[in-house]
Amino acid sequence: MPDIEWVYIKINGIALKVPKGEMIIESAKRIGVEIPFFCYHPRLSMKEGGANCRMCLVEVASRMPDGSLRKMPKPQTSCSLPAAEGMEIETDTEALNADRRGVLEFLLINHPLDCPICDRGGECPLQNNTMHYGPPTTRFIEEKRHFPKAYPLSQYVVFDRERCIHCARCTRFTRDISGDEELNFLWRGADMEVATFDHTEYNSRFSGNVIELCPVGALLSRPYRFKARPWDLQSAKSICTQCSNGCNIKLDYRLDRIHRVNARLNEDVNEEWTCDKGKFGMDYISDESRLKTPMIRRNGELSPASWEEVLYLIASELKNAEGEVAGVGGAYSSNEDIYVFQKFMRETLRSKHIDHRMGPNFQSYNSGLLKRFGCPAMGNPIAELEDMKSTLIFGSNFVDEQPILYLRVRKGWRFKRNKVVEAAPQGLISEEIRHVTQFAEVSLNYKNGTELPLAQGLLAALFEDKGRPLGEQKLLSHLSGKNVAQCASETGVDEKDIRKAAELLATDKMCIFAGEYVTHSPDATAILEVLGDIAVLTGNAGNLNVPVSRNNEQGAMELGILPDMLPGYVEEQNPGMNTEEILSACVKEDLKALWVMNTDLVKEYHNSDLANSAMDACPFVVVTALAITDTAAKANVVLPVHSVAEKWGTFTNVERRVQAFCKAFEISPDIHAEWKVFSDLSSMLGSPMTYADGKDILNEIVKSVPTFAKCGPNTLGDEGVILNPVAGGKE
Amino acid sequence: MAELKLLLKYRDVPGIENIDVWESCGGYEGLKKALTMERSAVIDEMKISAVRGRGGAGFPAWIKWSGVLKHTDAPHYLICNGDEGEPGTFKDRELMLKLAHQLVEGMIIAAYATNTDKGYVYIRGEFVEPAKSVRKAIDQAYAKGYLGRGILGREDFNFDLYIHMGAGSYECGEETALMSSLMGERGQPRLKFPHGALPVDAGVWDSPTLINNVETYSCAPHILRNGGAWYASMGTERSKGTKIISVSGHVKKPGNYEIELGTPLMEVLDLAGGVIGGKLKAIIPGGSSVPILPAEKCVGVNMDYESCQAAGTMLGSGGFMVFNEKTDIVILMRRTAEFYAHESCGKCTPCREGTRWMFKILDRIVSGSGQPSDIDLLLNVCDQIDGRSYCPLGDAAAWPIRAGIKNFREEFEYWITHKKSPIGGDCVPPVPYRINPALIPLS
Amino acid sequence: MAETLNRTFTPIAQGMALTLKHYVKMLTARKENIATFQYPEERREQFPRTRWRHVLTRYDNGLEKCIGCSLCAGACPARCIYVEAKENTDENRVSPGERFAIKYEINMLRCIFCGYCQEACPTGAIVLRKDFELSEYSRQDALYTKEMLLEPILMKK
Repeated sequence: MPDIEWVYIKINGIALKVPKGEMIIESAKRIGVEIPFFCYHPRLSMKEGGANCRMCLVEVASRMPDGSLRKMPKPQTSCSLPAAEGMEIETDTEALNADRRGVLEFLLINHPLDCPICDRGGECPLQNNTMHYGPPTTRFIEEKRHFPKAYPLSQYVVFDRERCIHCARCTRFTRDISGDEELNFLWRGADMEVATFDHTEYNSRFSGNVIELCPVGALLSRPYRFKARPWDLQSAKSICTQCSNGCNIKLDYRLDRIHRVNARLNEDVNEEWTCDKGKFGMDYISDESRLKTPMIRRNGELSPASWEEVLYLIASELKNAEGEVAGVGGAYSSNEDIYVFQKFMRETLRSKHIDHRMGPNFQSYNSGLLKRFGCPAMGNPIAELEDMKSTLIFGSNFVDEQPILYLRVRKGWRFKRNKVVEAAPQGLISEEIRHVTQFAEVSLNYKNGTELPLAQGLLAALFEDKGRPLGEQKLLSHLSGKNVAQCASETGVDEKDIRKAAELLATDKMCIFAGEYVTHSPDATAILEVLGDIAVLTGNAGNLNVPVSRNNEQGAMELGILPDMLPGYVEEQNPGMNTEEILSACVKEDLKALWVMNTDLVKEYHNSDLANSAMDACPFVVVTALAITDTAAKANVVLPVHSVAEKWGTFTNVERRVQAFCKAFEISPDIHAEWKVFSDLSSMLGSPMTYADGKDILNEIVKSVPTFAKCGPNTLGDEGVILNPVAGGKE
Repeated sequence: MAELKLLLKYRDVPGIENIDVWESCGGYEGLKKALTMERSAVIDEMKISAVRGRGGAGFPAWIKWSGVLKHTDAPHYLICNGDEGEPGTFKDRELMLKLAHQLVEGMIIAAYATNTDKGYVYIRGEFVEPAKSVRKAIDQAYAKGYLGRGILGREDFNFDLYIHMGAGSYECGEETALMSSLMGERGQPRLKFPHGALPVDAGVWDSPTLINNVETYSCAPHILRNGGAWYASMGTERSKGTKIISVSGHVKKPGNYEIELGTPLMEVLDLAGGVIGGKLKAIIPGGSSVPILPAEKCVGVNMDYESCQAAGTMLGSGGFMVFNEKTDIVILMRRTAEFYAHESCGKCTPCREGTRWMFKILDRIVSGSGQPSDIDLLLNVCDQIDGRSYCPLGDAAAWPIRAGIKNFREEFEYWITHKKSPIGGDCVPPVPYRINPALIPLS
Repeated sequence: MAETLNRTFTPIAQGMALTLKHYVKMLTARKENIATFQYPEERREQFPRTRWRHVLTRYDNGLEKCIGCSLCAGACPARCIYVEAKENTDENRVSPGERFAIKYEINMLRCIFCGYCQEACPTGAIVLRKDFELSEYSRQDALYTKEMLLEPILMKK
């Protein structure tokens, strides 16, 4: 950070150096001076709301041009006061304490004192500040404001209007961060209340965050309502499993039940946000449907069995089937499980037929990207996205596919004036999914299936741009001789829009996202070639991101659950079968056994008929699962395995960041870790694996896989570590 | 010093709302003269005239004007604050209703001086007739070429003027709240110096914005026509020019009176024909927000910014309210408090909760449930609001109540001990707590 | 020998004499002067602030006072209270307000009868009363559930 201008200020007589313009409330944190507040939040804008709780008042004396100090007659809000040279601040005077008492007395005029039944009680900023700064009693003897309690804003959020202190954090969140602008104030003065427009449902993908933001118990979680008090709960550091973004979360649990999920700060990944999928979707961990004992199919019915029995059965079956075994899945297992799984398949069972991909197209776009840019999926770390001057979101339902990346891109647009170009098929941009469109500078709505010509159109427009050198004749070959006009008519997009988009993309900091409409397209490889050309041509080689979408899909790629890649992207000389080929082989009864690793294959595989018939035809199917899924119901043996809450482990997220999660509790001693199943079986089959715990395995990965060299269990820390770059990559 | 008609000079000319009549009275000459001058020379003229903002705060106008002109890159905006909501003030209404051309001309001059090509007249929502009048004036000015592109043959001067009607909020008379409202947001104030940029640097849509009161703009044609020095020759040493005083209350002839600044307060009272219905009890000289002056303190006060300040009150927006001896100050204070509780925008804690609380206490006193501690409680609540609120509305709510208690404490005490009015009259039923009608619960 | 007999029987005789003396005295004494109680037929009156077995009390209309706030569990130094709450509905109203305790358990083996739970209770629902006979035949039985702790409904007319 070269060009920070520093100023010298004094807080309570302590001199300190802070960046010019930093808010005084932040400067005070530097020296451990506490200033109470309610409405302030460093990630929410001050300009359009903020500085309204008046709790953070301080006394300020500013330096006049002639060098004299002049004390401001009124106390000022430190949350909105930028530091300037020579400022002298007092935070702890008798007058300020009186002001704070006054503000708290005002706030408590209408705040009901039902703390004992409030879910926020015990971790409530209003409670804490009142205990610390507030008056012991109130002089308000009239009746408080009354509203019906527990107004349901949405299926996740319940709103108690009596408790609201109008800090505007939630309304600012919907405007500044989530971008749906669903919440705002209604009425004015003391009648003011937070509401959605026309009292419709609060419809947001990030609504859970307002629960954490609310400094009182006004916005509360519906699933968590009255489930526990904060002092009943224990908390475990964890990683969200709902998508590939890898949000850092805290699992709050009581005995063996998850009660709620809160975000855990990680500036490089999710900052302090979560999406609703993660915040309200982790209940499966302590769901009643969790499988608590192994199951064996006897007389056509799955019935409980002991671990000795099932392991013996599996070992004997697999011994017979050596070399004719295949494994699919792995995108939902930890890195350690994945590593042991592929080792078990490759070394113990001598089978190369493993794959985690669920289709529909099995073009090796990953290896294509890898060879070109040395990067198999995302070329940019998440934190870098907010600094990209322009971003192209190509063929993606971005907010649903990559919620946290969406928040970063939006943050860059909202606070750093970055430009966003969206290219989406016509059907996608509807009332329902409109998030990127809302702030995209240019929206290219192409006819379904015309991703390739549109990408070519953008490339052609960049070539035709006169300011651009026409070198790299090789890139021209990907245009197949088309010009912008041809591409425009083919895709149904206005030619002017394509040119405008290309103009926006031609900056030195540009990145491209290719979504599922690209990766699921039959032309995926060609489209990615062209998008790669755009990146190269604008001088942003490598800024092509093809983010994966499932929990640890990236880890499965990195650790070689691929028929043609060993861990660390070492090429396999004689590739095995991919998922499609494995399932077809099952149908043709070429395989004797199939192992499905913690994946609902029948539901997830794009061709469920093929998956179903493969499951039926294969003579011996083992499924590891958390509960009896459609796939598990068809298996010969079902093994209950640990969820994310029951073991220590690591996931690799979409930006190749390895992050650790911790064990919270145990549901049943008869549920095993997946790696434990493989190592036990391997020992029974004659090649012992001796792992004491997940950390043992990670240590082995660190030693044997070069990309993981920095990811030892002791170096991961709370923020995780990004994997080493893959060797190779021409451009 | 006495009544001096300048802005209101042509008020009673028949047909003055038509541009021809206005031109025959010397209208648009100030503009024509301004266009012969450099932009900075126009501002210099304003500087010499030393005209101060007539909205209430009395900030020198030329500083704002030159602040906008010095920005050369971004587009500039010109806003006229016609959201006249101060109880007791009705000068802008008359200026817009009868003398809309004077305002339009003033805004065109300001636009020229600040190199602005877009202007908005923000008119209070209830002012339908004045808005129609301004609309008519703008249309006529366009037809005559005073507005639009290439004004009066000057290729480098384009100015478009729009009307924006408020939605009925007193708070939107505060300049940052007015800008929020103009941009289509909630009518709530925004950060001001030193927390945020001044409007002249980053106002509406983050562009340099000049925002002045109707009366301030209306002075500009006269200053340009007759010269700043001429204007500065009127008034006192530090308060130059004239001021329109809206006299209301217990006087014989209520209405707008234009006076030279520095005119004795009692003279204004005489202009309006003196007190009726009894002896003088108190005067609020500058709109409901300023502290009340009891009769004995009125003598010797002059109507200018400094003298009023010295007497412990303010000239404000010139809402001159006269109360005779049959006025119950406690009831008056309750009405004032009700107004501010109703008009508080709700943004900041002290104003939102404090104004409502003050009103509830006063309501309790006049409904016969006052307690001896209530007076000190009221004063304490005033202290907790004053200077702690986000914008001056909180201060404006606290000042009158505090001054009322300070000057008429015995009347409050009488109410609390005797449960009836010191001037006769029984308790007033309390205002019922309003249940919000729009509570439609979701399924 | 005689000395031995003397040393053996004299104290016995002296002791029996004392016993006999008190026996006679008791037969003739007034009832309130007797310190010994015929437990379990008779029970001593407990002191007013005695803290023994917990009781979950009710309001006069039969609604439970407990709102399931778990403050007692938070205050408990022995961590022997477990509370689970649920939301009241109009069809099934257990306590006034929004929340009631669906589970309320005290592990009497762990309880140290400090009375902090009573002190923490915002509604005065949990009180320690005078019932001191808390022995059980098994450890499991010492886990007092909400049904055991709740006061019976007294219908006042």
